[in-house]
Amino acid sequence: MNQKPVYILGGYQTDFARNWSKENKHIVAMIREVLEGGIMETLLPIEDINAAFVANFAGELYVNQGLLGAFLVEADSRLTGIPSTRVEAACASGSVAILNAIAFIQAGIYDVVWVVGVEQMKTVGGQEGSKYLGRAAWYEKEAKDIDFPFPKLFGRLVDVYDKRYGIETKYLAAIAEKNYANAKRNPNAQTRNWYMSFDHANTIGEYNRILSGKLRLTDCSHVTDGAVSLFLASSDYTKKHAKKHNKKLESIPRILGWGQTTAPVEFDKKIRESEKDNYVLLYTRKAILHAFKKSGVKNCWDLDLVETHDCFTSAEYMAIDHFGLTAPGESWKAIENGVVNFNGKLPFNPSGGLIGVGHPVGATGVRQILDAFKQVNNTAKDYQIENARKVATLNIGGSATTNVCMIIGK
Amino acid sequence: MTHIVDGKSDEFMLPHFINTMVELGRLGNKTPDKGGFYKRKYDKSKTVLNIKSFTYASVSCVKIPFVEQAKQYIREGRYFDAFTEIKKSSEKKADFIRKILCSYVAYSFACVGEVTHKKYGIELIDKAMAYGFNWAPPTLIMQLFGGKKEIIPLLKHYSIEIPNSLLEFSELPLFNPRHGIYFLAK
Repeated sequence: MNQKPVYILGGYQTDFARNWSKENKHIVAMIREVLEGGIMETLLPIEDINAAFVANFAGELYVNQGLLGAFLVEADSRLTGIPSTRVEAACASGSVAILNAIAFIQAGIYDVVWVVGVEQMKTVGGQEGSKYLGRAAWYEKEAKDIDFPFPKLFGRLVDVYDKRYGIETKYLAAIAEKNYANAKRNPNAQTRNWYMSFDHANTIGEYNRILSGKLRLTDCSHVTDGAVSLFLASSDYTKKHAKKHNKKLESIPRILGWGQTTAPVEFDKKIRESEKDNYVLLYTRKAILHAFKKSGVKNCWDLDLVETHDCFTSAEYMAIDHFGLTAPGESWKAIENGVVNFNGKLPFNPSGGLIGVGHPVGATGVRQILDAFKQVNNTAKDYQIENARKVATLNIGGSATTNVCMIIGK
Repeated sequence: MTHIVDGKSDEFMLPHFINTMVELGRLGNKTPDKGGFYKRKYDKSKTVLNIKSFTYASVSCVKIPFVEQAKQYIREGRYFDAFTEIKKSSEKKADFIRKILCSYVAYSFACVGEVTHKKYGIELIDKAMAYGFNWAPPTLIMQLFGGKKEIIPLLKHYSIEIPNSLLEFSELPLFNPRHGIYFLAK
């Protein structure tokens, strides 16, 4: 099916190192900042926005606030009256909100859609927050009365790799080291001023304890407050926008294709289903292949970089073979050979990824697409990958239950 | 302090009540029995120093309507609205806040050419205050007050000397949404 192109006009990200609770700010302040920043970046007349989507995982728990769709309109009175909708798909909320915006634009219903991803997570302590995040699993079966359910689930992903193919944790430490190092180039990254070395990430001890199975503290992404905005537009609107700003339509990045799949919610069920397959997470692989097919990407080597979901190092380890950089179970080869490094053949997470940039759950998928846009638009500054033309993103919700892969290019 | 050449040297002197507190040995946490700015009673309740009488009184939570409204605006990220509250209030307390903020802007502009090279203008002073002290940059305060056209009459009103660098300053950058970090809603 031939689909109408959807363009990305730009967006804005808050500084993920900020603690908005310490500033005593309401979540609407975050939304307001990304609207103002996004409008400044894109030079878009605010009156041209036809509709808005907000991606948020658990506002009701973290900030005692639901109906977040309506808060988009609160960010600027000129938006009053437009349709605005909240989208929730756990950590994949951002990508799913973008897919909603794409659908409306491709259907010819809207010309300009504003997508916001936002999560304010530092309102509670780590233990409490971890219980909230447990809602992204099958809560009663996988998270209730369990401390840190998600490190446990992604720790089991390591166990599955270990059982099927063998895994050395030094490769997980190398992923952590790489993503922290990349984040130092990113002025919006939560960990840009933090210290991390391979030795620290690869050492278990008082300052790097085991959280679950083989996963250590340094294998985890962080609790982050953050918001990101993105403006998507139809080709008709983008033509006019490009002309107004003396740009060529071909110079504006667009969404070339995407794949979305939903796996069984329970982690064990996913693993049972993949027992006879080479890939550990079948639906993640399927989403990637869908995106490749829709965007005319032959294989991963057609890409210039990948912004992938590394909520834990094990998730990035999985993504490396699922994208096809190596045979299944051999992700370690791409790590050992430096293929996924910043200057490697196919860099993974030059922004720093979730481990380096931070992981405000509802905002992550939008942040990935904004970073992909910046790379293709050649505006990623210090974390720019030279000549980046095609970028893939992988955003997963739950234990790889909702999987969204998108390809951004020109 | 006399070796410091600064137009505001006199204002860097310790207020008299601090000297009195030192003389009385009221050094805060170091002297819990004598107290400091605050003193805890046996039941752990907090009392506060009255700097005129040097006695301690119960802490009362004072809510000033225009301050509460400004805080609420800041909480919602409405920084211009928060400053409008400060600008329009006829309360004496608002006058005090306006004067302090105007002095800050004027002092910062007066430092151009002394603390930083003239060719960098106010830009480096902004950076020094923001990155060095984590204060709102002076041009941001000026912007939130309504720009040069509004702050100059205010400086005149408070009889604050207007530095040449401020008179010569031609344009303000657009409001940077990231600058919200300098305002706490508390």
